[in-house]
Amino acid sequence: MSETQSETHRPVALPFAQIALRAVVISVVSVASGWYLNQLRPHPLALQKYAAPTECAEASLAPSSSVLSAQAVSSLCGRDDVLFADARDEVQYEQGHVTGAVHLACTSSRGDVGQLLGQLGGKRTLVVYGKSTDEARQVADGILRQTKRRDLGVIVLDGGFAAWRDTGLACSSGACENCESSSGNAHP
Amino acid sequence: MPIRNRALSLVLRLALAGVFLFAGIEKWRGAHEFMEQIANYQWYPEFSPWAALLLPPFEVASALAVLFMGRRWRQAGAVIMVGMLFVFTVAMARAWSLGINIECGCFGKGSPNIGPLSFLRNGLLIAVASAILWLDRERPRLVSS
Repeated sequence: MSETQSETHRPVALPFAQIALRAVVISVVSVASGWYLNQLRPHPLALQKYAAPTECAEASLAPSSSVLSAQAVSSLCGRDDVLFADARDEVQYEQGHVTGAVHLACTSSRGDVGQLLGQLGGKRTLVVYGKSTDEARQVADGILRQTKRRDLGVIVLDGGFAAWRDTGLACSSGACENCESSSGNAHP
Repeated sequence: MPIRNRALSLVLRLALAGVFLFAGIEKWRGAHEFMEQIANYQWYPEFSPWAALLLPPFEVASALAVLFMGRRWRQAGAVIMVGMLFVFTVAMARAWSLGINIECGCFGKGSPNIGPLSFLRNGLLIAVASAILWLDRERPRLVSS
């Protein structure tokens, strides 16, 4: 029996269905594991509608006056490039102030902020607080008008010193050392 | 598959899976930063939490499939990788064309900014994934008629 045989190449069969099925399985496993592992995080990703942050520490370094809450300002504590300034009167400062704050009313006598700006040195952010937000804002605006430093960010503590104290953040009390050295000029 | 092709396939799979594993793990570790990076693309930012949640496991799962599983699974993993890389490239091209100067987020926190190198890298990765698909393709078989 003779049988004619001819050998031909069968076209390559692309197993789309098999690959697609496995891709779906991988996808389902990925979604399930992502969902489950997210719940195990200390701080899971919140899947509600995303809202861009409106406050952050880096934004506070911008060269303009801005009002931040005590909680937000506290993230700037201890940084070498940040100076706190108390715009209240000397008696209130002595009774209690933000730890490390300088007494602004003394160092900026007669509306001259030259001495304060000298104290700033290489610091890039000045946090001003007073009895109220408005009081500190007026002082901050005055400083911004008089300084030529464009890299200086001035922040106003929202709610004044009371907000800081009520939040339970670091406070100190005691005499104003700078006031003693400049009291002759500042408080005649 | 010839030995040479098999070795080449293994090398490419190791390289591609290594990149995807690293990227997936880094994104997962810095999920909140990754979410911000995605939102910075300004392309449906409301879905950035979902993308930050799902992309890392997709990358890790497809990398594991390409690295450790059988041929069909490898192909499925490579197809998913090509799909993801295509979407990433489109998103980067859109941001770049709009002049949005942002980190690409390709490897989570500290990723390089979007630029020509980002497109070159994605093109290279797509080429590698395609090569894996090609090397793993169904061999033509001789049939009698």
